Amino acid sequence: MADSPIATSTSTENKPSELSVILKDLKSKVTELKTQLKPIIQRYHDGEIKTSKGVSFLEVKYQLMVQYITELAYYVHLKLSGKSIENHPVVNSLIELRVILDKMKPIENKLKYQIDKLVRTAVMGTQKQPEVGNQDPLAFKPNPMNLLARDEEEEEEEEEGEEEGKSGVYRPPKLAPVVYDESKGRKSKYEKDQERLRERSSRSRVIRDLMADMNDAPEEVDAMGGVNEGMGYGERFDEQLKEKDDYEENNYVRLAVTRKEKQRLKAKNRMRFETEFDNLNDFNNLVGIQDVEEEENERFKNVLNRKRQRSESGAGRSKKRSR
Amino acid sequence: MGDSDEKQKKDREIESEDVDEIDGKRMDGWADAATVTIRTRKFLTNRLLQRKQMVVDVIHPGRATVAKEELREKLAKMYKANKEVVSVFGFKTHFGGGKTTGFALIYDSAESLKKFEPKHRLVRIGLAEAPKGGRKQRKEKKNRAKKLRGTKKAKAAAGKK
Repeated sequence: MADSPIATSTSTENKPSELSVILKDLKSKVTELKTQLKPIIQRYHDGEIKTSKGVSFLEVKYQLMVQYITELAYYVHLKLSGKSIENHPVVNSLIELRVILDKMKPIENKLKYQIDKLVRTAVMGTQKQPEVGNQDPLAFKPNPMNLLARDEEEEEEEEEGEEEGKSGVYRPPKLAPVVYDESKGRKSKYEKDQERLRERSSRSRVIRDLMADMNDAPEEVDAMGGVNEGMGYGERFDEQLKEKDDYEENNYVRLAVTRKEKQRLKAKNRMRFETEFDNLNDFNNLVGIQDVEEEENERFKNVLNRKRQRSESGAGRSKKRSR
Repeated sequence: MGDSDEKQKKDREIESEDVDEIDGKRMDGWADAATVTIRTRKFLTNRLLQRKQMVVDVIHPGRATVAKEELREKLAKMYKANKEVVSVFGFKTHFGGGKTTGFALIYDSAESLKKFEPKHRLVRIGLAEAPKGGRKQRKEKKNRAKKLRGTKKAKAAAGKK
């Protein structure tokens, strides 16, 4: 017991010394950076480095990230020294940079394949890699010849397998490798149910509207729908109608109205536009969400209970309860 | 994708005597006093059949479905082709009116149209004649021709005529 206060005091002593060590490190690194940057800036001013052809996408990304980090450091410095950051230009510029970096993400996604391929060839460039299935390192088009080569290889290996089966040694066939996921194992029934419910809820109208709201992609909505509107309402019929529309437009034919559709039209429904009341079964699909929310709120519920108990016991002990 | 707007001017003004009221609806003779907008989608150049094919959206608020002849003319103007090489079909009006969707094929030349277009559409444009005689007669004729071979078929057909 006597040791613990000493231990805590030493730990608190250690912390400022650690901090000072880190600060010294930072200082030395900053001076090093300065000395390295000076010649580059000099070269730029002398006109050795050309920027007339514009800057490449990845370079822009690096520059933006470096700027973002420096501004973050400045922001932290301001906060530590207790100065107010309201209406400080740093905040605006941080937000700007963040927005630009976010906008660069989808473009980067599109370039991902090319960049990965180039990096791979750069890393393994010196090693003499046997050209697997006509893989040209600088070709980015999809290569159907790749598929052919694999088929041939498989055939050869099947033959080999047979031969060696005859000789008595079993060689497993060399197929494409698949990731072995240890954690999956045997899914419990409960987990499977949960997943199924979650998938169903993701298909409900409410969630789909939410997803469309938050999605970056532009939304295409046809105000008057397709030619076959009015024939049926509700989720399933919407999908069927969409399929029918697509088929008709792609194959330049007009499909006849089937007997079932005719019966549905003749029945009291007639042809009419969909109303919101037709989709009131949407709550059926949201069953899964309810459970997820309950799970997530359990932790918070316990915290609240504990707090309440503590406060009640404290109040009972020390203060008088006024009525 | 091209748009073509057409405004047809009213050629007379309303005067109270001219307007008839039937069941509270006005019956005045301006059937065409509305704009017709044509939009094309899914445009595809089909070299194998020597034509361009597209899905046509016609927007005609306040007006009944536009006639095929009129659409042929408008499309020919849009795509700078002759009216003879344009073939339209499959027009269906959306529920509630005002919008119609159909298909259009614009051939490279009149010969390719005659060659590739199915018979019933050629009949609609007037470039071919529908086979005469009822369905029964046509089928009987075909069955009779089945018994012959080669030039005798042609002779039999000519003889009947």
